[in-house]
Amino acid sequence: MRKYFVIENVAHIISVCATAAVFTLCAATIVAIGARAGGDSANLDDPVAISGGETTFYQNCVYCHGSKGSGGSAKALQCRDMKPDYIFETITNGRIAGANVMPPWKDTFDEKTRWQLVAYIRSLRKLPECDAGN
Amino acid sequence: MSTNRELFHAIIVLAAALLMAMFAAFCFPLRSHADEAPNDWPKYYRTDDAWRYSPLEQINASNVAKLKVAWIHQPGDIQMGLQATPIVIDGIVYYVGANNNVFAVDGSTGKTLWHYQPDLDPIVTKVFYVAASRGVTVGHGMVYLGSLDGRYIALDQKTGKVKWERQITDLKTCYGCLFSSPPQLAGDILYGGTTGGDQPQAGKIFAVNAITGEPAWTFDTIKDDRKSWPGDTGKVGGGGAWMPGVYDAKTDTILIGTSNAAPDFFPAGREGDNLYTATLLAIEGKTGQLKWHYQEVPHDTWDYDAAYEIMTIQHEGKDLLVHLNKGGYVFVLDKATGKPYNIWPLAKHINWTSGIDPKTGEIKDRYEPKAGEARTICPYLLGVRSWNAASYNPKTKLWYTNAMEVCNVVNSSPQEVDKIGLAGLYLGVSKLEAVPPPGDKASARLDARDPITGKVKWSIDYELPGLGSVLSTAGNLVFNGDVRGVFHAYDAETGKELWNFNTGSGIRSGSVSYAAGGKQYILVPSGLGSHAPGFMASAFPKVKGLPGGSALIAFTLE
Ligand code: HEC
Repeated sequence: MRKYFVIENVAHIISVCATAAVFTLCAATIVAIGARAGGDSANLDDPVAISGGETTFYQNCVYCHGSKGSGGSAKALQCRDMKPDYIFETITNGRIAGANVMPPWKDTFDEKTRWQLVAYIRSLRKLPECDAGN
Repeated sequence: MSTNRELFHAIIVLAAALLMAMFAAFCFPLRSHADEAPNDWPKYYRTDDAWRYSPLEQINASNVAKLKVAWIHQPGDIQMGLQATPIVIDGIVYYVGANNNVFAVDGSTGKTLWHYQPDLDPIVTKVFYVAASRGVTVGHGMVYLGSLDGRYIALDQKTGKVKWERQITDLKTCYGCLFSSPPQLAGDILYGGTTGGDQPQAGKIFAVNAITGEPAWTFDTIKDDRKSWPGDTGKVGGGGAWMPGVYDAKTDTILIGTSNAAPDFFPAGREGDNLYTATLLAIEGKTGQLKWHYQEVPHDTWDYDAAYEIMTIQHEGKDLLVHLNKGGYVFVLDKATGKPYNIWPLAKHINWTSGIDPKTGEIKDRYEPKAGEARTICPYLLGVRSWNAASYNPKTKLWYTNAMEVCNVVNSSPQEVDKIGLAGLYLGVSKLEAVPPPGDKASARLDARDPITGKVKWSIDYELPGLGSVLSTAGNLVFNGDVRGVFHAYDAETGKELWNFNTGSGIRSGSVSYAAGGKQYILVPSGLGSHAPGFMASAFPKVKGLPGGSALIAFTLE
């Protein structure tokens, strides 16, 4: 279903673009949407998704990743430019790194909730503390 | 004449004997367990006094600097480190590493005598509390394990072969409630509780016949009482008894503490005492009947578990319990009745109450989390100390414990239970952050105190909170491992550091002492891996990235 949605969107954008005849802009838009095709329709920059992800993060992830993903028993998640698919995949299937274990969250959160977490973690890329060399 | 002299003599001897008997009775009115089986560490806290004290003194303050590694045993799996307190009986060490790998090891050589690992249900990798166990229990010729997939398993003490096993909990329906601590013995009864204070479930203590595994009784740590739990709130009220209890054989009494109430920080809806969360329970071993209870934190809204070690100390002819609550207070209670004798603060930064009445236990001026507001609350959710136990030394009459001063900023927030999955937590927050106390820095220390009054004898600053249990011995020694893995020995009277050894990975376990082949050993499970460092990192950034590991290290004199 999601795939159709993306294809429909792409078709729609192409037709709009054709009339406007601004092809460079068009190409950029298609690439941007294509990059998100593996996820769901939640916009990763959507403040609602980010704040939903933040709440889930503080309820479930802060124990290991620290507040704002500042790092704890597991690696820091802030100030890092991780690909959305990579974040989604890691959250879904969990991770073992030496003594530290992250359970898979597949059976705990539906896809939408996991993508909201991705949105929140992506929002931690450019925090003020990142410039301080943390 | 000679008969008279003999009579006189006999009377003198008799009188002397009588005097001596009276003297002995006067001096030792209530015998402690401390001197039982001096060469062994037969139980989680060594004895039912829960002192974590060894009466051995071959290793002492004058020779401790000569300690050398005798052997190292590696369980081979380092997930969540090595959190166990080993059991040692007749020179054989029994312990459990990550993912329920149980070992019997020769205490003189470190040679593996047997190894057992249950085939664990794959669900164990999907829950929050993965991989870690705090130990096994030995008795009735068996080694008992509470498994990560909710079973009690009894192994033959000699061979490690399964004698019986019984499924106790269903992780799928209780948000992964599992046995992280070893079930304990109360005579022929084997009993224990599960994780679950932070999950939407209702805690229970499960007892079976230790010989056969047949179910004996179940105690609900969530009281079936609408006044205590309005509506259905009790069904998701938390209350797991996740640490080992202790047993008083004289009175057939199990003493065990329970966790916080859930959701931890969002109390709206569960108005009431929320019994029996954050409570000490005295339960009859045979029947599972409640003898008395003392709720340290009625209507807990701060994640202040009462699950830690319950120590018994004789004081002025009375048996008193000494018990630290996560909320920063030490509760000294009358063992027979559970009534407060004294309540004193271990934490310096406490703001959830303006004080607890030491005689009535009344909690004054509660400062609770409030929905829609960020509130800084002290101590934080890991407590003034984590579950790593204290030690009491009857020679110095001091209580040795790790402590830390950290607070948390809490945004209380409702949480939909049906959105919480298997590995989810039911904290009732939208934001939660460990922070230094207002106007102070986050700090940690090892304290030596009078257990009844709290008076400080000595205190040593630690750079990072100690997460291992303290050990003290008759050799006038106190041992404490730090989170970087340095294992320290101190003079029990003065706190002067006498020796240390870098084990390479943090201590999150219970070190013990035993004797085998005429030699005393100090046995140190080393290896970090725990949820605690993750959460404290925002207050103690240096805790980040400390290496994990898992090794059981035995020290002895050359
Ligand atoms: C029990 C501890 C624990 C919990 C809880 C936990 N994680 Fe993790 N997480 C880890 C560990 C360990 C790693 C691997 C880190 C490494 O490679 O050093 C990790 C890795 C990650 C990564 C990949 C980072 C990288 O460096 O590659 C992401 C993204 C992530 N976690 C997100 C989350 C989210 C979102 C949650 C909450 C739903 C969560 N984690 C909960 C322990 C945890």
